[in-house]
Amino acid sequence: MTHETKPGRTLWETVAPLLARIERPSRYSNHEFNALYKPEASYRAALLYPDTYEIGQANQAIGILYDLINGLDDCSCERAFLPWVDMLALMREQGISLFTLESMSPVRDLDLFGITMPHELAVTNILEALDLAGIPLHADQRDESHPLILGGGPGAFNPEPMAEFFDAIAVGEGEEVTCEIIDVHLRARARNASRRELLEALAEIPGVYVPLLHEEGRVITKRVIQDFDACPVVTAPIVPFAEVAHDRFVIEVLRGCSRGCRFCQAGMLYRPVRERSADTIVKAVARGIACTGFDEVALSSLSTTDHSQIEQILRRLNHQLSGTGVGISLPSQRLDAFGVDMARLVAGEKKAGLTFAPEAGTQRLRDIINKNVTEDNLISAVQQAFSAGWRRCKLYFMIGLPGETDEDIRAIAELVNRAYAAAKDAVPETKRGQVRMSMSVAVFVPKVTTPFQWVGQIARAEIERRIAVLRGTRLHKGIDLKWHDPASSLIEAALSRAGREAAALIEAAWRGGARFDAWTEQFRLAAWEAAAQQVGLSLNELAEHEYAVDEPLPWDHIDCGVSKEYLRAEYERALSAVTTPDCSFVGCTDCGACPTLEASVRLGGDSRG
Amino acid sequence: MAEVFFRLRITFEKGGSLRWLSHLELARAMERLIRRAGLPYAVSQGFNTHMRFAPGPALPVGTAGMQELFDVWLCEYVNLRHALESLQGAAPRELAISAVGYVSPGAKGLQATHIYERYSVVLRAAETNAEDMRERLAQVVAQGELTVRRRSKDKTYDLTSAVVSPLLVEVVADGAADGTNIAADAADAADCYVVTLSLKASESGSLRPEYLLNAALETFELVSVTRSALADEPPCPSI
Ligand code: SF4
Repeated sequence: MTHETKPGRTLWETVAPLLARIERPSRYSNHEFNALYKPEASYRAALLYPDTYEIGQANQAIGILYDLINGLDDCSCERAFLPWVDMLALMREQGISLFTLESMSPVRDLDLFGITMPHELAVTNILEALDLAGIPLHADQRDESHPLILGGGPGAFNPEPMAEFFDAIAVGEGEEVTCEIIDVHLRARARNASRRELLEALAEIPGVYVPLLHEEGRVITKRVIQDFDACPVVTAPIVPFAEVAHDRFVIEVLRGCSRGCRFCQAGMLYRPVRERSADTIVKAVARGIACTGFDEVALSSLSTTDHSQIEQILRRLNHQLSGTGVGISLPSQRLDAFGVDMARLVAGEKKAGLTFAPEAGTQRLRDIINKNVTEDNLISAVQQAFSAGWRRCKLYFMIGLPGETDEDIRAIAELVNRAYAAAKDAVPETKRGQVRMSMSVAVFVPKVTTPFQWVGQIARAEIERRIAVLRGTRLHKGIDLKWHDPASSLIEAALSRAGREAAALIEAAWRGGARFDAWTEQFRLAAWEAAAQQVGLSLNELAEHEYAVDEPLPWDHIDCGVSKEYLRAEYERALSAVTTPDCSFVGCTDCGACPTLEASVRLGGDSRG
Repeated sequence: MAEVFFRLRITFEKGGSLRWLSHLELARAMERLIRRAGLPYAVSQGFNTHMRFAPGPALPVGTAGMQELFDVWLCEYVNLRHALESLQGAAPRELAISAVGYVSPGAKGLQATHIYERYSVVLRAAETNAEDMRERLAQVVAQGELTVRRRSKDKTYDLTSAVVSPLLVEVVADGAADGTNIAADAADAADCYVVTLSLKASESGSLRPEYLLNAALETFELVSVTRSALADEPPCPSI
């Protein structure tokens, strides 16, 4: 053991007095319902979501892998999160290294340290976590005494900016590959293999990218679970004490979404669509509520109301949960009458607020991005929702999409005004004062493995001009306009399509004090600008970089299943505003995912396509 | 026809690392624990249906409790032994359930009745002894009033009504503390003391034992604060 504690004291005894000096000590208190303890295990893993407890504990992938690894013989899995800045400072001051919650072991003493790569604004937190753990940042500086640093998550699809910090990166769905990685690690350990030999063995596993050993021309294809319905549901997840982001029992009802919005990375990453059957879902919810005691269940996915049996599922759950005070929530809202119907089915008397994402103001631009909804869809969804008793609604839009003109921007305001008027009309006169509509606008960030992966983000000055165009429009007084901070969108865009050169930028930004970049009050553009200057890069150039459609891309060696030809064809259809339908409704549109991944679209537990 | 409810009073411990839960977090944990235990809890009517429960008097973040109380209304009578076992099976060690019993469904709330709190405070201090510490504390109490600055606001407590028992100070031998689980935090017993006292909660904000210690001692390290009992009547003078 290498606790840096006073002799005779356990790590807890050193940490406990610090808890009196920080915010939200329950972040570090452990012992939640369903937390698992396997002190006897000889192989010990830690999983870290690179943010605070309340953000990370809500992460579903971590929950799945936690359950899975703890289910393996002689293996334990514990959780770690990045301490908030107050605790971080105290730990640094007292020389306490990053520890796991369950056994309060220093992370660097474990065998495996798995880190989620969720998005661009978490990259500096990953470096902070490694450094706090006392682990060298760079894979080539680590030796046999260090845990294996394994990455995974959405960031694996453009791994280059973070590649040199990881020993291995698992691409795609982690359920199977994680067990294979542990198996290889155990065997390597048994034969006393060197770290290099371990990495060589890991590189043999399909879906595993080992940056140190990567050879030109090798392609890593994402892993996918073929029979998702048979994949066990975690019915006894950890129940946090602290209030977390999604404080409820979550069941993933389907994986993937093939609506094909051209800006959306998730829509390409998780193909093909695979549903859990209504029976599986209804049974798992009963067990989940009994094991957790949550008073809410969320049916999660990228597009829950697209589930082929959604109506049956909701009716059965309503019946099962009636009289228990347990509510159902549908996190994603389909923008049509059916979506509102389904929302109505679960809302009962409590109608909190609905969220719709038209994304663009004109039909032409919505066709460019393949957002297959019309203005009529939106207006009638709003009418229906407000006449059914909802009083609040939030609309999401993007500016800076490819092909956008000032007219499209002004049309956003017109659309929202019309939706607002429709909402008021649908509500009895005496209740009109309660109608609230908010619009949230973000700057478009082009992402890899989407049809827009070649295009750059619009220039900073142009972003400001377009924001001014929107601000210059006349919105009804009752409409609340919110912006996703354009400065953090710049960092997202600078990193999202960058190559290995961005590693130095990230490291310099972290050394310059950047961390918790996703937290508005912590984000410091200046730290990133200074870092860019120091390493000779320009944030603007990175963000605005335009790739030629036929040039090699830094993420070409990662294959998410959807072919580059398909993305290119989709890009061209976008330029001429031609839409593409959803393959789970109309049949295959040849994106390549099914044949490449040897998987198929599965609805309600049946296979199709 | 009016529904019949059964009001179950749960006695539990808030200990170990879970003493860092806030009042709200603890209430939510108890609510979930009851649901996990499978008890037939009653659900409120109206827009936002939820379990009918009422937590006991709040315990500050970081303070442990040995006999905390929590009421939940059941819509069916449950054998007490069964209720106890189900709750115990659903609770982590740090929220151990020690007893359950029924109280009249219409009885006054815990926060109104259980206003007498017994505390044990474990601390480390140098250059003092039990007698000296007891005297200093007694002097503070004798002043009759104590003003404490919290979040840049001054608040004055009436000590004559708030301190309802004599103060007891003991040196802890061999980390044994006072038989409660707080000993775990006091691994090395050198200069380790336990201060025991009873306080009366007040609606306008309750006095905390730490405030008395802060006023009485210049330097000390607070090891733990534990509310060892909650009662609906003042302690008998013999304590
Ligand atoms: S290969 Fe065809 S069916 Fe499969 S996800 Fe792509 S478009 Fe859909």
